[in-house]
Amino acid sequence: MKEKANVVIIGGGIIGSSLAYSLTRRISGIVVVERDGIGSQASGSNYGMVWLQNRLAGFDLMLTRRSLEMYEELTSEVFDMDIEFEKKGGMTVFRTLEQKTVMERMVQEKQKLGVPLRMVDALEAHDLEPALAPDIIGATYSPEEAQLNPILTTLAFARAAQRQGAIFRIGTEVTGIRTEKGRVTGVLTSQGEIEAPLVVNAAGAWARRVAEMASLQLPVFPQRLQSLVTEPLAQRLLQRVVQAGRMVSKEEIDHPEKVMSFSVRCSFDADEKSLPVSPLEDSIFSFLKPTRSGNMVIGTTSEFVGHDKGVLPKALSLMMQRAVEIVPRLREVSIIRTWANFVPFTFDTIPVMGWVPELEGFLIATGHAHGMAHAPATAEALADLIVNNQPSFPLEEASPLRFRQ
Amino acid sequence: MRDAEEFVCRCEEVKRDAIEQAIKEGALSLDAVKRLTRAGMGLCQGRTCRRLVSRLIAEVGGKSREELPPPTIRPPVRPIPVRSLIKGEDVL
Repeated sequence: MKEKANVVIIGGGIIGSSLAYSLTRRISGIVVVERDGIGSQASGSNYGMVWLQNRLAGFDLMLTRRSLEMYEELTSEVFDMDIEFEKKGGMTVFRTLEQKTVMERMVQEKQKLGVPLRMVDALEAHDLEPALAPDIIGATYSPEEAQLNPILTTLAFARAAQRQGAIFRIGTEVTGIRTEKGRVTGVLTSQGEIEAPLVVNAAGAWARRVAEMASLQLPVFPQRLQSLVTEPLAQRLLQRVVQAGRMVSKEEIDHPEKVMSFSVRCSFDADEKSLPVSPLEDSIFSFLKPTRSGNMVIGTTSEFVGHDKGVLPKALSLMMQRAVEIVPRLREVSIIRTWANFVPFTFDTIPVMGWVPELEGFLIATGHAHGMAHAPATAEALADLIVNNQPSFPLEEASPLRFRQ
Repeated sequence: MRDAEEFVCRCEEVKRDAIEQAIKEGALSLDAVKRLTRAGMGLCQGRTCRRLVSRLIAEVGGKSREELPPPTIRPPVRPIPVRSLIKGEDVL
């Protein structure tokens, strides 16, 4: 007998799990179809950042702020497990005057938007984090930046959804999307067919493949992030997350309007050839996260290599070199694990959320390169869109239609 | 002796009852148990507890050990000093 559902969500990552939670608060008959396990891809292996200073003014910042507020409520009233959500603060450190100029400008812009962020000088930076390298001349600092344990957060959403009646089909791979006369009627899976009038594509870095099953184009690409983690450190080297400021060019200082502007053209039929590929050295964004367990997580590269999950000794070596430049004492420790994951990349770095006109009942919910920062608000907005046909806030900026120029 | 308080994963100090609880909640693979309990995430990266955890999944979860998907084993096999990694020594 065929299984029936009101909504089938493809993907048991943070977006699919949080959406299942938000939907089961409103309606029944929610089935999540997950190929591997809950949070087994990027949702289980990312840095768990809910940061404001890295978010872009507009949709990105709005989604993060709403999510941040929701985490407070979720952790105190909904989740039955500790997701290690903490406002431990965060710093972006720099060592050149050029970087300082760009950082000051960024901080002023963020302050205007009400983001609690300020510049600290070398003295205060080292006071906050004594293990920082002596040549660091300053930092941006916010005491409000939050972090969480990403896998536990994904599991907590899945469990909350299950308590409210959602069914998670683990180890179940979607093999096709059933359609009839321009509307979706269900999904075919490795474990059989599920009938449903609504299907959500929350397949993260695999969302493009899922869209192709429904003969739809979706310019969302896997972006590989390589990471390492140290052994548990007897003595904590850092109190909070520290990242390295980007290297900046003279041109950027003379033309500040170019700072943080994403000018990559996006189009509906964009392919791999359009991706902004850079040499490995330039793709590294240094990032150090002390975890509750005492390990230090170190990232990251940003590469476009399809779904090749390998880690490269050269990349790991470069990432560690950069990390040691920030915290020299990391030279004394050992690495116990390395990994790579894929976040879903979009050309303007904004998620893709909304219906597609070609296929009634097919909802896109992917492109969240910052899934932990975006998930709770994304889930609420999309649950309202599904149930009331009215999202709780405007989603135009995230519309799948924006790629069609 | 079977003791719920005994350590299955010594590196991360994960006890037998925590692992059994995870299995009862549906963690039916080494990776799923790892994600839920941290068993296998420590210094030895599961080299010691892998067999014990598979046995528990078989016993408690009612799966045969042959059915279990192989765990994801990530490099390095042994902890590598950051110094060696930076020097680009062949460590992986």
